Amino acid sequence: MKHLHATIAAVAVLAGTAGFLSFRMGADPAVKAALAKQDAMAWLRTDFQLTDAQFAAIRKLHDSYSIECEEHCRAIQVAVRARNALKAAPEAGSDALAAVDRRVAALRLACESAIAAHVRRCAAEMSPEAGQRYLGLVLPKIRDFDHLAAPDLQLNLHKH
Amino acid sequence: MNTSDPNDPLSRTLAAWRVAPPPDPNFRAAAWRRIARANRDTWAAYLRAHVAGWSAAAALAVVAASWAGHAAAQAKLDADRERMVVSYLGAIDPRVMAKLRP
Repeated sequence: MKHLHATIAAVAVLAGTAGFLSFRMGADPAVKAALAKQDAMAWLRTDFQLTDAQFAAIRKLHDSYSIECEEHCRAIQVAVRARNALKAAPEAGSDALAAVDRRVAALRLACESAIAAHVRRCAAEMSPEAGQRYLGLVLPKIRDFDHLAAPDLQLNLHKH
Repeated sequence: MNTSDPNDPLSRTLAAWRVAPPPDPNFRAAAWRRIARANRDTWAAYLRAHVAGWSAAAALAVVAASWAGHAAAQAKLDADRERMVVSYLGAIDPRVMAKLRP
């Protein structure tokens, strides 16, 4: 009986070791490191296996998009402030309120279109498979932006 | 106490005592049987005796554990990737930035 128990224990240790090693080696270490560091550019590079040229092109796209992003951001803020001020004003009419709401909604829609177009341009720089996977990850989140958390990553190109 | 005194009756009795046991014809076979049983009682011998069963069990356990480890690694990677996508988009989405700015 003691040999049975010892053998069961040995098999369990063997299986545990195999499971642990499989867990540790189950993903690309570079991707894991980028994810652990919350380094978005490193993640893009490793997870989508970008070549140097692809990475440089996407970095350039991010650089140029950050200017556009800044403009959209400012326009939304101005519109939201105007809407808030109008809502706080007792004499504000419903037509005026509806108009500013429409303005904010239109800006948000324009933003959604702009960011979707931006990620599509980024995807176009990747290999077809990587681009599809990238779009599959980001496009649903763009459409569902209210669920996005506060940015807490190192996206060094973006200087908002 | 000196027990080797030749005048001591006990010493003389013991010196004269001879044991002549009847020969056991099965002694050698019994000894080998005991040796074989002792050999079988080691873990290595147990494993040798059940090598097929335990090999299959060990292979099955290793495969299952490896699959589970790989699945867990993928699940963790997917969760980390999901968080990364959210953070990534949060940093390039003007709507999020506009919300966050005072």
